[in-house]
Amino acid sequence: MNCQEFREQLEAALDQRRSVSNQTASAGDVHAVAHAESCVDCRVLYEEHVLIQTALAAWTPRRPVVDLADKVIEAARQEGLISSNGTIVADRAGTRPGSRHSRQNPIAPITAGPAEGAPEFPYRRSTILATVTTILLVLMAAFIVFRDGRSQIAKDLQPDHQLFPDRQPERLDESPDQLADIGHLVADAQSAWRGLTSRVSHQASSLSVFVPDLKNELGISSAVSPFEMIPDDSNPDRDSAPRRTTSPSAVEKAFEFLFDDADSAGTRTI
Amino acid sequence: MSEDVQLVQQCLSGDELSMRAFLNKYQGLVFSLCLRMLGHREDAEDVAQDALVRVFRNLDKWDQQRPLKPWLLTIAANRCRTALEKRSKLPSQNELVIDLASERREHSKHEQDQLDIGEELELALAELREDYRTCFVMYHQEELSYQEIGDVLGCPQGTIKTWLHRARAQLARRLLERGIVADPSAMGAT
Repeated sequence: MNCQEFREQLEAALDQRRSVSNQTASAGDVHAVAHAESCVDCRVLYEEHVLIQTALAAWTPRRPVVDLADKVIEAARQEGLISSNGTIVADRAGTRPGSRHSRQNPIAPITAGPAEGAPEFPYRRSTILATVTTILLVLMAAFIVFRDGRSQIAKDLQPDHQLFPDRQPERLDESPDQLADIGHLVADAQSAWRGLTSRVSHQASSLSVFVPDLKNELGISSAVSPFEMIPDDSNPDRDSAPRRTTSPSAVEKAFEFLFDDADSAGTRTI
Repeated sequence: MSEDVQLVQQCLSGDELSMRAFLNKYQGLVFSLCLRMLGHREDAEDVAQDALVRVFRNLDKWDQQRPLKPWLLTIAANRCRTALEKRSKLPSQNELVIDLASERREHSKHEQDQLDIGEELELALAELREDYRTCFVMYHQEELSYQEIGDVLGCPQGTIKTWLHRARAQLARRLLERGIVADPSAMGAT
């Protein structure tokens, strides 16, 4: 055996995933080993071959432990490749590359396929519903046009068209009595305003704050309170708790005092 | 009907339990390849998850006349290559240390003196070039053919054979550098 034949023998052993050894029954292997013992270059090759084959025999390639099942299943579910309840989502089995089904999106789920043996109906229910609705709307529009006529429809669409032509705008009843009442009210208001302003200006000119001596001005003795004690009848459960209020006569007197001429001798200035 | 075909058809019907069974059967394979190619566990988890979702998304495109494993690995390898391209554009790519070997070292630090030749092979494998490593693992661990590896990695069959020879040679040299010597006389027929 020469070096070329030796290399071919090694290569054949590699192709057959076996080792070259003189312990085999192969005559080629025996000759190859004999050649390697006599050839320095081929001996190196043979030692490498033996070393690798020995290592491979001792090599137990451990597959790294990994669990990608949940992630892959979740990703497949998001892509519509699997349904949540595990039912059939796409009848892709049997479709071959190049067929019409295979050119469609393989991810798109077909949730309701035709029954077995039934002719394939290519349209979805939503498409049919939309088409029927459109046709009905077009028919209704055509009916309205032919019923009312185009000119009437155009007239109805005028922007200044009055929706309620029989209704007239309401107007105020300007009777002479009402005008007289309004005039009196305005005169009273003006008079009151003038009196109030003159009163304020007079008090301001005296540079004092007047505090009425109510008891003297109203002719009320110190023993009698200007407030009358009135029992609270609104709450019967309450133990006759008196409710303090002023009598109408006292209020009248107070107003007379305040709005009449205050320069009388009943005022005290501070 | 093979077991894989039946499982795939159940997955295509949207059955969650079948999809979980599919994942339990193949997620280790996909993740292992991603970890081999990327050398970073978190990146490998992300890419493996993405690859498995793509598998489900395109499961109807699998040719049921062909084996499933190379098809799965092709998708995973494509996603890994995309991730590697993105990583190469990152300015701090040197900081992304391939931690597969370091994990192994940490894991077996207390067993350092008792490392067998299989463990040494694993350590040396982690230091290989990515395409050599992937090629070696697919051939010797997943037992894919040259043609299937070529399909997965998008390379001609001759390139795969060349990579496999180089991977074996580099592994042997590294084992020798670590003082690992095999006894040819102890090697029997395998």
